[in-house]
Amino acid sequence: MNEQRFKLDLKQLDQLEPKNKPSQIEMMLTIQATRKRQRNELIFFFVVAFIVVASTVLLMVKAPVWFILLQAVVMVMALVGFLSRRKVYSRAL
Amino acid sequence: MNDLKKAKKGDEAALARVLLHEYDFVFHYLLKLTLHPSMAEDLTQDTMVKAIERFAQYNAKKAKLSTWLIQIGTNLWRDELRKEKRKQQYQSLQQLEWEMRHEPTTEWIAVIAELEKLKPEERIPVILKHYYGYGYDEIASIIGAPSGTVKSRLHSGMNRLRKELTHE
Repeated sequence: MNEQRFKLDLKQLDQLEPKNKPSQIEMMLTIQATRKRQRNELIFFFVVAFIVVASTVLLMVKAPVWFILLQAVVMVMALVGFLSRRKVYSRAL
Repeated sequence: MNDLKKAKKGDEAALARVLLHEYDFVFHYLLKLTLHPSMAEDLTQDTMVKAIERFAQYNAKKAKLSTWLIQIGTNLWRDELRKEKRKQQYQSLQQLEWEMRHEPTTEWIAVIAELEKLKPEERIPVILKHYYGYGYDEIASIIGAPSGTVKSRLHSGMNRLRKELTHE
Protein backbone atom coordinates (compact mmCIF):
# COMPACT_ATOMS: atom_id res chain seq x y z
CA MET A 1 0.00 0.00 0.00
CA ASN A 2 1.45 3.38 -0.89
CA GLU A 3 0.49 6.88 0.20
CA GLN A 4 -0.86 7.73 -3.23
CA ARG A 5 -3.38 4.92 -3.19
CA PHE A 6 -4.34 5.70 0.38
CA LYS A 7 -4.97 9.31 -0.61
CA LEU A 8 -6.98 8.37 -3.69
CA ASP A 9 -9.17 5.97 -1.73
CA LEU A 10 -9.83 8.55 0.96
CA LYS A 11 -10.45 11.25 -1.65
CA GLN A 12 -13.59 9.39 -2.71
CA LEU A 13 -15.11 10.33 0.65
CA ASP A 14 -14.96 14.00 -0.38
CA GLN A 15 -17.72 13.32 -2.91
CA LEU A 16 -20.16 13.02 -0.05
CA GLU A 17 -21.87 16.31 0.77
CA PRO A 18 -23.18 17.16 4.24
CA LYS A 19 -26.96 16.69 4.24
CA ASN A 20 -27.84 19.29 6.83
CA LYS A 21 -25.43 22.07 6.05
CA PRO A 22 -26.97 25.23 7.54
CA SER A 23 -27.70 28.29 5.44
CA GLN A 24 -26.18 31.69 6.22
CA ILE A 25 -29.34 32.68 8.12
CA GLU A 26 -29.44 29.40 10.09
CA MET A 27 -25.80 29.86 11.05
CA MET A 28 -26.53 33.42 12.19
CA LEU A 29 -29.43 32.15 14.30
CA THR A 30 -27.16 29.47 15.82
CA ILE A 31 -24.57 32.13 16.65
CA GLN A 32 -27.21 34.37 18.27
CA ALA A 33 -28.74 31.47 20.25
CA THR A 34 -25.31 30.26 21.43
CA ARG A 35 -24.26 33.75 22.54
CA LYS A 36 -27.59 34.29 24.33
CA ARG A 37 -27.16 30.94 26.16
CA GLN A 38 -23.59 31.91 27.15
CA ARG A 39 -24.81 35.27 28.48
CA ASN A 40 -27.54 33.54 30.53
CA GLU A 41 -25.05 31.03 31.92
CA LEU A 42 -22.72 33.85 32.94
CA ILE A 43 -25.54 35.72 34.69
CA PHE A 44 -26.60 32.51 36.47
CA PHE A 45 -23.00 31.90 37.57
CA PHE A 46 -22.69 35.42 39.02
CA VAL A 47 -26.04 35.17 40.82
CA VAL A 48 -25.11 31.81 42.39
CA ALA A 49 -21.63 33.10 43.32
CA PHE A 50 -23.16 36.20 44.90
CA ILE A 51 -25.65 34.12 46.94
CA VAL A 52 -22.89 31.79 48.18
CA VAL A 53 -20.52 34.64 49.12
CA ALA A 54 -23.30 36.72 50.72
CA SER A 55 -24.64 33.84 52.80
CA THR A 56 -21.11 32.88 53.92
CA VAL A 57 -20.36 36.46 55.02
CA LEU A 58 -23.74 36.72 56.74
CA LEU A 59 -23.15 33.47 58.61
CA MET A 60 -19.65 34.61 59.63
CA VAL A 61 -20.95 37.87 61.04
CA LYS A 62 -24.25 36.77 62.59
CA ALA A 63 -23.31 33.29 63.86
CA PRO A 64 -19.54 32.75 63.93
CA VAL A 65 -19.83 29.61 66.06
CA TRP A 66 -22.12 27.97 63.51
CA PHE A 67 -19.79 29.08 60.76
CA ILE A 68 -16.76 27.42 62.39
CA LEU A 69 -18.80 24.30 63.13
CA LEU A 70 -19.93 24.12 59.50
CA GLN A 71 -16.35 24.53 58.29
CA ALA A 72 -15.20 21.70 60.58
CA VAL A 73 -18.01 19.38 59.40
CA VAL A 74 -17.20 20.07 55.74
CA MET A 75 -13.49 19.40 56.33
CA VAL A 76 -14.15 16.11 58.15
CA MET A 77 -16.55 15.00 55.41
CA ALA A 78 -14.01 15.81 52.70
CA LEU A 79 -11.31 13.88 54.56
CA VAL A 80 -13.56 10.85 55.05
CA GLY A 81 -14.59 10.95 51.38
CA PHE A 82 -10.96 11.15 50.24
CA LEU A 83 -9.84 8.27 52.47
CA SER A 84 -12.73 5.99 51.47
CA ARG A 85 -12.02 6.66 47.77
CA ARG A 86 -8.36 5.80 48.26
CA LYS A 87 -9.38 2.52 49.89
CA VAL A 88 -11.63 1.62 46.94
CA TYR A 89 -8.83 2.36 44.44
CA SER A 90 -6.20 0.39 46.35
CA ARG A 91 -8.62 -2.59 46.56
CA ALA A 92 -9.29 -2.37 42.82
CA LEU A 93 -5.55 -2.46 42.08
CA MET B 1 -11.05 44.17 6.41
CA ASN B 2 -11.50 40.44 5.84
CA ASP B 3 -14.28 38.33 7.35
CA LEU B 4 -12.03 36.77 9.99
CA LYS B 5 -11.05 40.18 11.38
CA LYS B 6 -14.67 41.34 11.29
CA ALA B 7 -15.75 38.16 13.09
CA LYS B 8 -13.09 38.76 15.75
CA LYS B 9 -14.58 42.22 16.30
CA GLY B 10 -18.01 40.68 16.96
CA ASP B 11 -19.61 40.78 13.51
CA GLU B 12 -22.01 37.83 13.60
CA ALA B 13 -22.65 37.78 9.85
CA ALA B 14 -18.90 37.60 9.20
CA LEU B 15 -18.51 34.78 11.73
CA ALA B 16 -21.34 32.87 10.03
CA ARG B 17 -19.64 33.28 6.64
CA VAL B 18 -16.24 32.22 8.00
CA LEU B 19 -17.67 29.09 9.67
CA LEU B 20 -19.75 28.14 6.65
CA HIS B 21 -16.66 28.46 4.46
CA GLU B 22 -14.93 25.79 6.55
CA TYR B 23 -18.04 23.62 7.03
CA ASP B 24 -17.38 21.14 4.20
CA PHE B 25 -13.69 20.85 5.07
CA VAL B 26 -14.52 19.96 8.70
CA PHE B 27 -17.26 17.54 7.62
CA HIS B 28 -14.94 15.69 5.23
CA TYR B 29 -12.20 15.49 7.84
CA LEU B 30 -14.62 14.09 10.42
CA LEU B 31 -16.04 11.68 7.85
CA LYS B 32 -12.55 10.27 7.31
CA LEU B 33 -12.08 9.90 11.05
CA THR B 34 -15.45 8.42 11.93
CA LEU B 35 -16.22 6.69 8.61
CA HIS B 36 -19.82 7.28 9.61
CA PRO B 37 -21.73 10.00 7.68
CA SER B 38 -24.40 10.83 10.24
CA MET B 39 -21.90 10.88 13.10
CA ALA B 40 -19.63 13.15 11.02
CA GLU B 41 -22.60 15.43 10.36
CA ASP B 42 -23.50 15.65 14.08
CA LEU B 43 -19.88 16.23 15.07
CA THR B 44 -19.51 18.97 12.45
CA GLN B 45 -22.51 20.79 13.89
CA ASP B 46 -21.16 20.36 17.43
CA THR B 47 -17.77 21.64 16.24
CA MET B 48 -19.42 24.79 14.87
CA VAL B 49 -21.27 25.44 18.15
CA LYS B 50 -18.06 24.91 20.16
CA ALA B 51 -16.21 27.23 17.77
CA ILE B 52 -18.86 29.93 18.30
CA GLU B 53 -18.57 29.53 22.09
CA ARG B 54 -14.77 29.74 22.06
CA PHE B 55 -14.19 32.09 19.14
CA ALA B 56 -12.72 34.73 21.46
CA GLN B 57 -9.91 32.25 22.28
CA TYR B 58 -8.97 31.65 18.64
CA ASN B 59 -5.58 33.09 17.74
CA ALA B 60 -5.04 33.51 14.00
CA LYS B 61 -1.29 33.92 14.52
CA LYS B 62 -1.02 30.47 16.10
CA ALA B 63 -3.01 28.39 13.62
CA LYS B 64 -5.26 28.56 10.58
CA LEU B 65 -8.98 28.52 11.33
CA SER B 66 -9.36 25.13 9.63
CA THR B 67 -6.61 23.68 11.87
CA TRP B 68 -8.31 25.09 14.96
CA LEU B 69 -11.66 23.63 13.89
CA ILE B 70 -10.02 20.26 13.21
CA GLN B 71 -8.61 20.35 16.73
CA ILE B 72 -12.08 20.96 18.19
CA GLY B 73 -13.62 18.25 16.00
CA THR B 74 -10.94 15.72 16.96
CA ASN B 75 -11.54 16.34 20.66
CA LEU B 76 -15.29 16.01 20.22
CA TRP B 77 -14.84 12.70 18.43
CA ARG B 78 -12.59 11.41 21.21
CA ASP B 79 -15.24 12.41 23.77
CA GLU B 80 -17.85 10.62 21.68
CA LEU B 81 -15.71 7.46 21.61
CA ARG B 82 -15.28 7.59 25.34
CA LYS B 83 -19.07 7.78 25.70
CA GLU B 84 -19.84 4.81 23.50
CA LYS B 85 -16.86 2.54 23.46
CA ARG B 86 -18.42 -0.08 21.28
CA LYS B 87 -18.81 1.01 17.71
CA GLN B 88 -20.92 -0.78 15.13
CA GLN B 89 -18.34 -1.32 12.38
CA TYR B 90 -20.59 -3.17 9.98
CA GLN B 91 -23.40 -0.62 10.19
CA SER B 92 -21.15 2.35 9.61
CA LEU B 93 -19.54 0.78 6.51
CA GLN B 94 -22.98 -0.04 5.13
CA GLN B 95 -24.18 3.51 5.71
CA LEU B 96 -21.04 4.93 4.11
CA GLU B 97 -21.52 2.84 0.96
CA TRP B 98 -25.22 3.68 0.81
CA GLU B 99 -24.66 7.41 1.20
CA MET B 100 -21.92 7.46 -1.43
CA ARG B 101 -24.16 5.57 -3.85
CA HIS B 102 -21.27 4.19 -5.81
CA GLU B 103 -20.09 0.68 -6.42
CA PRO B 104 -17.09 0.41 -4.14
CA THR B 105 -14.03 -1.33 -5.50
CA THR B 106 -12.53 -4.11 -3.41
CA GLU B 107 -9.46 -1.92 -2.90
CA TRP B 108 -11.57 0.92 -1.50
CA ILE B 109 -13.46 -1.41 0.82
CA ALA B 110 -10.17 -2.87 2.03
CA VAL B 111 -8.62 0.53 2.79
CA ILE B 112 -11.75 1.82 4.57
CA ALA B 113 -12.17 -1.40 6.55
CA GLU B 114 -8.52 -1.38 7.64
CA LEU B 115 -8.69 2.29 8.49
CA GLU B 116 -11.68 1.53 10.67
CA LYS B 117 -9.69 -1.13 12.50
CA LEU B 118 -6.97 1.38 13.44
CA LYS B 119 -7.21 2.73 16.96
CA PRO B 120 -8.31 6.41 17.06
CA GLU B 121 -4.92 7.51 18.39
CA GLU B 122 -3.32 6.02 15.24
CA ARG B 123 -6.09 6.92 12.79
CA ILE B 124 -6.00 10.65 13.58
CA PRO B 125 -2.26 11.21 12.82
CA VAL B 126 -2.37 8.88 9.77
CA ILE B 127 -5.17 10.95 8.17
CA LEU B 128 -3.70 14.30 9.19
CA LYS B 129 -0.24 13.43 7.85
CA HIS B 130 -0.88 11.31 4.80
CA TYR B 131 -4.08 12.91 3.57
CA TYR B 132 -3.93 16.53 4.70
CA GLY B 133 -0.14 16.82 4.75
CA TYR B 134 0.19 18.34 8.22
CA GLY B 135 3.65 18.36 9.81
CA TYR B 136 4.52 16.48 13.00
CA ASP B 137 4.43 19.63 15.14
CA GLU B 138 1.04 20.70 13.79
CA ILE B 139 -0.41 17.24 14.45
CA ALA B 140 1.11 17.31 17.92
CA SER B 141 -0.68 20.57 18.68
CA ILE B 142 -3.97 19.31 17.22
CA ILE B 143 -4.04 16.13 19.28
CA GLY B 144 -2.24 17.55 22.30
CA ALA B 145 0.64 15.04 22.41
CA PRO B 146 4.44 15.38 21.99
CA SER B 147 5.72 15.07 18.41
CA GLY B 148 7.71 11.96 19.36
CA THR B 149 4.44 10.26 20.29
CA VAL B 150 2.90 11.43 17.01
CA LYS B 151 5.81 9.92 15.05
CA SER B 152 5.56 6.56 16.80
CA ARG B 153 1.75 6.39 16.41
CA LEU B 154 2.08 7.28 12.74
CA HIS B 155 4.75 4.67 12.23
CA SER B 156 2.77 1.91 13.92
CA GLY B 157 -0.47 2.96 12.22
CA MET B 158 1.03 2.97 8.73
CA ASN B 159 2.83 -0.31 9.40
CA ARG B 160 -0.43 -1.93 10.45
CA LEU B 161 -2.22 -0.57 7.37
CA ARG B 162 0.56 -1.74 5.01
CA LYS B 163 0.73 -5.16 6.63
CA GLU B 164 -3.02 -5.76 6.51
CA LEU B 165 -3.41 -4.48 2.96
CA THR B 166 -0.51 -6.41 1.49
CA HIS B 167 -1.93 -9.60 3.07
CA GLU B 168 -5.13 -9.21 1.05
